[in-house]
Amino acid sequence: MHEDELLAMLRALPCADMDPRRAREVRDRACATLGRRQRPAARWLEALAVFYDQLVEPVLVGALAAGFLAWVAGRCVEALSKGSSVFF
Amino acid sequence: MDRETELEAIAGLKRGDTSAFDAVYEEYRRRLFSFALRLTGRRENAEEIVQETWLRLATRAAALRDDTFLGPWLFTVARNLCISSWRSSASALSGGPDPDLLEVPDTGGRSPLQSAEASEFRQRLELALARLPVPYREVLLLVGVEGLTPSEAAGVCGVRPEALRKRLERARDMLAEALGWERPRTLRASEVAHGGTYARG
Repeated sequence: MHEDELLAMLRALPCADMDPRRAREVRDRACATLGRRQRPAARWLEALAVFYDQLVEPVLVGALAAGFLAWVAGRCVEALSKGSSVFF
Repeated sequence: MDRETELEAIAGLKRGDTSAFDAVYEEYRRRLFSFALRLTGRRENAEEIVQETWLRLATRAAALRDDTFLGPWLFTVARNLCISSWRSSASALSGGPDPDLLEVPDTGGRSPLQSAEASEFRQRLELALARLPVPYREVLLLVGVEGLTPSEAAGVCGVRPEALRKRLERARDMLAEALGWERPRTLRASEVAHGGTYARG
């Protein structure tokens, strides 16, 4: 049997459909479930993202930068106090 | 639905966007119901299975991978639900297709004779399909009717692609035998579309 031929015949079979009222009920139930399951998590994640963007990230980056500069300054002061011409 | 649209729909589903759900529902509603109906042979069972499948999509949407292929995902859930329902009810399949499958109207303009021939042929095909054992029927439904690739169908059935190819080959032979065909000649596209004359044994 030619493979393409059989597959083409099967592909040509029409689709059946649910009763429109039942199809609507299924859709509404699924959408209600989707909304119930997703919204609290979405709100929570959104708040977390805003918190991270506006507070955590700037503070973290600022703290790291300040720490590095303080460390460099400390090394410089230490080297100068010992009268060394070579800092590091 | 092209892949880009499907990926957007998945992102929407993960956000809980009901319009994304509607797009997916419209795309797969009939295909999923037809698959379940042809697999179970009973409209009530098919409706239950399809409803549960959509509810599972809604429940698990947030956990979907960004690159999920929705068709195989939905067919996997529906197929597993069919198997679970057979196990729990200890009743595998009816001996024939649901009558509704035989009464789906044909589309496209045809003469009454062409239409009657196509309708008769379609009924024979549905009956032959319905009488195949489930493992063979499901591969024909997934690859033949739904257009999944053999690899995707293997994923749905939980078998290796090589095993699925062998099963598909056997299923084709069984279907041809059930239809009483020997080696049908290669059809032209128009004949296939009209369910016209096939070489019959």
